[in-house]
Amino acid sequence: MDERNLEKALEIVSVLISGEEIGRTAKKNLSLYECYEGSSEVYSLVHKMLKSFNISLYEYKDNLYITAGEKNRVFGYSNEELKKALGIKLNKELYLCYFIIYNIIVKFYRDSAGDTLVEYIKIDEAIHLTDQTLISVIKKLEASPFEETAEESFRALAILWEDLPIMSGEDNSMRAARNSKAGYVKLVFNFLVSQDLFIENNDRYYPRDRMRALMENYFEENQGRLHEYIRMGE
Amino acid sequence: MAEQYLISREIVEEHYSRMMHIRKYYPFFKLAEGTLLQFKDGKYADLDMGYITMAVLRFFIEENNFKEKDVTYEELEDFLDEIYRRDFDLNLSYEEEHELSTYIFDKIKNDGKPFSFSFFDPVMHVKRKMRIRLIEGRMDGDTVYYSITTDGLEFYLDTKELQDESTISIEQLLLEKMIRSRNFKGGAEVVRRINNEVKKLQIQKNEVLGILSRNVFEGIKISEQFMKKTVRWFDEEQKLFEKNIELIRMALSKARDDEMAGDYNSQYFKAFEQIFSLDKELKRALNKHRELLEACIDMQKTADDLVAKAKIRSLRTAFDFEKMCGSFMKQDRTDKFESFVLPLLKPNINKSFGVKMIDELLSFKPQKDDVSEKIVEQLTEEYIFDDEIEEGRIQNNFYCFLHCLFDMLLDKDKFTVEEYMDYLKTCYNDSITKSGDLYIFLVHLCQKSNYDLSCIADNKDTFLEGVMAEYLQNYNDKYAAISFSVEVFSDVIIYLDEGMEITSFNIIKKKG
Repeated sequence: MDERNLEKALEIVSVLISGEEIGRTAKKNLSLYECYEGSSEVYSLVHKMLKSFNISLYEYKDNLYITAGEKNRVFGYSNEELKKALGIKLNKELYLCYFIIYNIIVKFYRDSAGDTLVEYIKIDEAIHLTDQTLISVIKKLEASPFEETAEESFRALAILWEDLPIMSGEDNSMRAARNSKAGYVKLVFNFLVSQDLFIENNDRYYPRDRMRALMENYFEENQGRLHEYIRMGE
Repeated sequence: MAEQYLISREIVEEHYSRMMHIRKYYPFFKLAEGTLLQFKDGKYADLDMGYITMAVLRFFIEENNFKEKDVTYEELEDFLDEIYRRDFDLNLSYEEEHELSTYIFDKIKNDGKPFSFSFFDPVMHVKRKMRIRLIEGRMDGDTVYYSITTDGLEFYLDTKELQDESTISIEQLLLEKMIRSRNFKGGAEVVRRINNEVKKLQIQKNEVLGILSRNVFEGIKISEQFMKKTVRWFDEEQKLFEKNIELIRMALSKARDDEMAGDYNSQYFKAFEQIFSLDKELKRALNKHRELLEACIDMQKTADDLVAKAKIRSLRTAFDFEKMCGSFMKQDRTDKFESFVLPLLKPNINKSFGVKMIDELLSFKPQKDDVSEKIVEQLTEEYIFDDEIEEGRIQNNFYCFLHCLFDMLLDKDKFTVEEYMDYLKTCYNDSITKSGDLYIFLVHLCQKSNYDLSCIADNKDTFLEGVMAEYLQNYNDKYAAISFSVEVFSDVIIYLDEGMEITSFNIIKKKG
């Protein structure tokens, strides 16, 4: 093994883990991308190292993207860390944010096979989509039994969402906060932007290549395991 | 008795549907009862909140259902201001009016939450919670638009006996009636309503298209329902359109006859103008209706294309996110969405220590009676197992047998096994011949006919030779030069003990 190749592979892995992009179109760390692409030893070492960290690497439009997946003890997130990153406190608020993220992304990807022609999404659309997905649960709430609900249930989520006003107060300033539907969606979008999944321009949120790379590859590659997890408990 | 049963059955079984029916009245009475008493120390207590609620609902119906537009907060504020002045003779400053309207509107929409009240369901024996909204909001860009909910509309219409289920066909029948009674002006109004109805269907069609683009299979169901409903109407509506156009044509022809007869008056001109206006409106309606029909046919084509595309996509084994959501809903587990969200996140390199854990560490107090555990140096113990004890015994016994055997070989050149056993008896005791170990020793000894102790350490063919080599090495090497042979007589049987019999043999010392 050439020691220089090992050094390059280590550099690529550390740059990727630190959250930086490597690629041709991203025009960042281009020399590292050329090393990765040009040397079979560097390529193989990078893959081996990432595999040992339980990290998946995807190439999309000449750029490299990584994900730690959903059960990574070292590079994954705990519920507390996620709540802190999103700016929320309770588990049911975290589940609501998951649900809003799901609704936003499904606007672009209904399945991992390919995307729709949708270019961007706005906050009001995200609110509408969440309303629509929850409509059947909200309908049931209209005359539902007066009982305690588990925090992870759809009923708890629907009550939390349904009891929120669209915006707080009558002012039109869109603030990320937990006191309105628009506030929650803004919280979620701020988080998605910080994760390099979306980019904001004039109140419109455009998906970035990182999101496309992961949506089109991760779920298809792991579908066997994911199906098993999804069906567990049915 | 039977009557009693019927009454109780009615009470129990019909209670739920009765509550569902009266629920729409709940927000009105909640609002009407002293809402304004709590505001500004009852400064506006004279304002009738019930009246204002009904007026606001009517305003929303006018804007949403007739003008087909949603309402902004500013528009509602203008409307409320008009009510304060007109009906309550209240002239307020801009700030006061803004404050009051904000308060009233917040109350009508219940601060964005649904009105809720609980009741007992005697069938299920549970307490249920009802949720009703009168007004709902929708965001478009940065603006919030408000509209009346179905519950709100139902409540308003229910307060007076009227049925407002206007369809194109009903309106057409009304139009026919009006044309026949020569009420052309009223007819034009009806046609405008028909146009609105057609517009509504266009909106519905766009909604169906929206669902189709999101979920083909769900969309197909809704589109089929829509097509079934509208296409059935189309035939009937088209016939009525033709009939009404014919009626207008007849009215026009009659007007021309009057013109020919020179029957001119102001009424004639007015009627003529109205007929033309009606004719124009009806033709517009007919065109719109045709456009809708074409759009519906296009929609059918689009739906077919989408189904074909979906079929091709279904051949690829893609991961379906909508199915995943359906499955989570079935399991009622929102937390499972983490399997969808977490893979999209960057690796987490900022490690955090939970605040709760710090709290727990700081507040941790060990109990007083807790005694610290002393660490004592552990001594390793050696265990001797049963089979090891057995092995030791056998080895020891074999050494004794060998010792006697080799001693005899030093004294005698040849001896029988009986003589050997006698020697053992003298060395130990008479019961030695009953030892199972001796029996095994003799059996092992007969396995080979020649033994040479000088080279036994290198040639250990049998188990006994192994024991012999060990014995010589550990205890005594004065026997090292001995070599002997075993001569077996198969016809003489020696009885040692029950189940232990051996054939006799001689042990002969070899010379040289």
